[in-house]
Amino acid sequence: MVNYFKQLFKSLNANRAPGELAHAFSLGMLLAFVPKGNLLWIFLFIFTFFLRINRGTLFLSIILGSIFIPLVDPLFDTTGYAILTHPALTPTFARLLDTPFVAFTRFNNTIVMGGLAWGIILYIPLYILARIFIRVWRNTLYQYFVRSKAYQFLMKVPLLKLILKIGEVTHE
Amino acid sequence: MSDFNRDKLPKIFKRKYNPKSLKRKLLSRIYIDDDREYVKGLFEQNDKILQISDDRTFTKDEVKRLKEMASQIKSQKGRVHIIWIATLVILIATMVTLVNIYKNPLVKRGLKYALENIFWARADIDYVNLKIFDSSLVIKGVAVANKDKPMENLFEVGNISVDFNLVELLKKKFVMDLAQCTGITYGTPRKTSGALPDSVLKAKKEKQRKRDEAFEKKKEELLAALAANAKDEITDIIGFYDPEEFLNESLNSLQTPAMKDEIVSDMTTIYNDWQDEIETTKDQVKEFGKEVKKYTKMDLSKIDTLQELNDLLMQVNETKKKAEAFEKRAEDISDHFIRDTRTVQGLADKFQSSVKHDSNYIQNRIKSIKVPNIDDGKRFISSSFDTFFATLLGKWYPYIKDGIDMAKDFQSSGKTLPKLPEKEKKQKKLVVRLKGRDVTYRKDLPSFLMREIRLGGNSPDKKFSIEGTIFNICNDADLLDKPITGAIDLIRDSYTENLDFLGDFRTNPKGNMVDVNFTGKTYPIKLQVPNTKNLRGIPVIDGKALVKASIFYDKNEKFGTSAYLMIDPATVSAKSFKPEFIYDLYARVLATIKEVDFGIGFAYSQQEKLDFSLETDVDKQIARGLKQVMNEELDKLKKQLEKEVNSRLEKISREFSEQVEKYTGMKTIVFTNVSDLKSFVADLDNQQKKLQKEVEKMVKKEVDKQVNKAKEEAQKQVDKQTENAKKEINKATKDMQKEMKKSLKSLF
Repeated sequence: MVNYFKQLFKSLNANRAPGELAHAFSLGMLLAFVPKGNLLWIFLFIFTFFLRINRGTLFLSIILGSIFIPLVDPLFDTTGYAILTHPALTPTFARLLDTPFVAFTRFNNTIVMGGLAWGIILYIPLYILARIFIRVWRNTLYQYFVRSKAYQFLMKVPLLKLILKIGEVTHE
Repeated sequence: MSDFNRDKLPKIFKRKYNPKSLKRKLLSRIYIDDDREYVKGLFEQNDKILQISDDRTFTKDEVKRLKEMASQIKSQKGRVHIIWIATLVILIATMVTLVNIYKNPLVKRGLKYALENIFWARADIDYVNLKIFDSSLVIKGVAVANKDKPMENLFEVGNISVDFNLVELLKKKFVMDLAQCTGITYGTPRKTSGALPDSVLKAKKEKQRKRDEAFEKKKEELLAALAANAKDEITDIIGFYDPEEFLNESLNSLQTPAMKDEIVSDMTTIYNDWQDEIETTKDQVKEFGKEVKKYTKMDLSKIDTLQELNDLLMQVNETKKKAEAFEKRAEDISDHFIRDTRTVQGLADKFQSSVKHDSNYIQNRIKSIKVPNIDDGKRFISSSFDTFFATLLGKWYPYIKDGIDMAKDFQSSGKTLPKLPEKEKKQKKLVVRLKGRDVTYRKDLPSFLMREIRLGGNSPDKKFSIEGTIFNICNDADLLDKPITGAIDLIRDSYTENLDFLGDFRTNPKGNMVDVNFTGKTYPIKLQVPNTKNLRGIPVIDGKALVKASIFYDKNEKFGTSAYLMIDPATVSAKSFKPEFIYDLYARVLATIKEVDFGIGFAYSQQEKLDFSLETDVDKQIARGLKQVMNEELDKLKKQLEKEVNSRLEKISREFSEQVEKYTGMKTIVFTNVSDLKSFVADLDNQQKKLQKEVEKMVKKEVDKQVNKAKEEAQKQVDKQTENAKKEINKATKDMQKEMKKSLKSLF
């Protein structure tokens, strides 16, 4: 977790492509939306390894997202059920379910389908938001953050000091 | 603080750029505004070339900052890791290759192990090809050895083709839509022994021994009870009949032989008593006859003188008196003899009544010979088969029970067990997500399902063919909601077998849990009961059978079977035993049986005792056969007895008749003597008359009328006396003749 934070701060304050962070964030949220323990989640997770994205951001997004996502599981369930039982899609899903290995994705589970659907729907908005945040952070917020009393206080905590120091912009 | 020149900077900062390339390759990749402005300020433009001046010096921090920036810029290589993808592809390819290499040997080994475990003998498989993505499995050349004949195969299957459902398999469910087994044969020779190692067999036998000990105990109890009931019924029935003994006993019971001896002894005594006297009298009569003839044959015309005539007449008179006296003596002898004759007659009557008695006795005895009342319901030999069939069923029950238990275990293995509460896990989890709902588009299937299996095999050279279909073999019948059904038709050599079965392993089956119906036609069969008690007459039934068997197993774990066995044509025989005549009879009885029916019932449950029943018409047939054979045999015995007794009585009567004839001969002599003497008297009387005539003639000449008167008177007197004498003689003769006739009649 500390490493993830270190990576995040390091990337956030370095000349890393904002897309790396934004994609990592969006993918992390997508992975957080989709319940674990199925082939779909594993595929998505493995897929992230083929992308040059920020791992720290990804894992932090997954972890932080996983904490809050259960609150919206009822929404996922409803959405997933609506999709899975939609008459126009039912034959496709039935065929998919009869296709070897596809069943391992558990796409026919309402939470999985709902999470996937919401994850895809929110991918672009979250990406855009992440990029805006990175830009604002790098050019504005970071300066304010460094000068704030909170930062001064956090720097007194050894662990946070280590994290924040690593993420410091190397020049003034 | 020491200064560093441009040479210490990373390469990307030492290169020359035009404004466009500087922006594209360097500035656009620096995302922090301060950094970008700093780098931009480092480059100086000379003509169209932008480059950091050689004169420019850098502090250590600047060099460090630029190195870090260079590193961050270099790391921006695009979004995708090509090498990682390539690695994954290689990994997947390796896995696919490994699976392709090892899948078939692994399947082959698993199948081999399963077959050897089931059949207790080596199993060989020539070829296995599992096509995962084609969802098919092809197995060729399956040969399973016969554990009892290791150099022979129990069966062979030429080709097994299985189409399974890969989707379900990936859900850990084996769902097979169709399996076809073709080229099924049996009893083919093996090149190598098919016996499993002893250690493996020993372990299997030990496992089998421990199986269902309760049943074994009840089976032993039943067999002991059945064995105790097995009796020597046949010899008990036929044993009464011993023709030789019966004949001897009958003949020994005859009175006549003893009576004959007694009578003959008495008659011999009487005979001996009379023999000398009668013979002497006979001789005397003969001698006397000569003397009488001397007078009666004399030519009277040659006598000239009256004196001679008178003398002769006197001699004749004297002889006549002697004859009369002799006659009287002879008659006395005859009278006495007749008295003894009456005794003899009494003995003869006694003999006759004895013969009559014996004849009546034998007739009554013959009448008393009857076929014993043979009860049609009696179990002559079927009790012997009780043990046989009970043993047979007892032998097969554990296998059937094993099969049913395996099927039940198989069912329970398919059912999803309720999961244990996972309280502790839940407490440990910080975040618990909803499980959601699984939307399915098709009915859920059991984890093991074989929808249809088709069996086929045809081997004309072995006269073998098999055809069969089995449906719905699964490990969760509740989920499938269908019972296992199947039908198999088998033709082997000259007989056919049909098997229909149903296995309903649902929690609430609609009928019995297991129903099996088996029909076997023209099935060569040899029923040979093991003769543990050395009973006589245990039959061996050989023939061709029609077998109809039904087996059921209900949800209360009650197992039952009812079987009908018709052996037609049947040859029933038995091992020979003594006495031979009983065996011969028994063999004739058995030979009358041409068809045998058996009805067998068998039921067992843990709660109840083992129930066994056997019904057969063989006992009725034996009863019928016994009646027929015994009737024939007794008729024969009657005739033989009648013949034997008649023969014996005839012989005795003949001996008796000889004795009677001797006595009769003696009687004849007696009567002849009397008759001869009477004849002598008559002759003498005649001669006397002649003499008197001659005397008269002579006196006539010389004597006068007085003499004539005297002569007439004398003549009258003589006539009268003669007449009287004649009358008396005639009367006596007639009486004697009557007596003689009567005696003779009585004698014969």
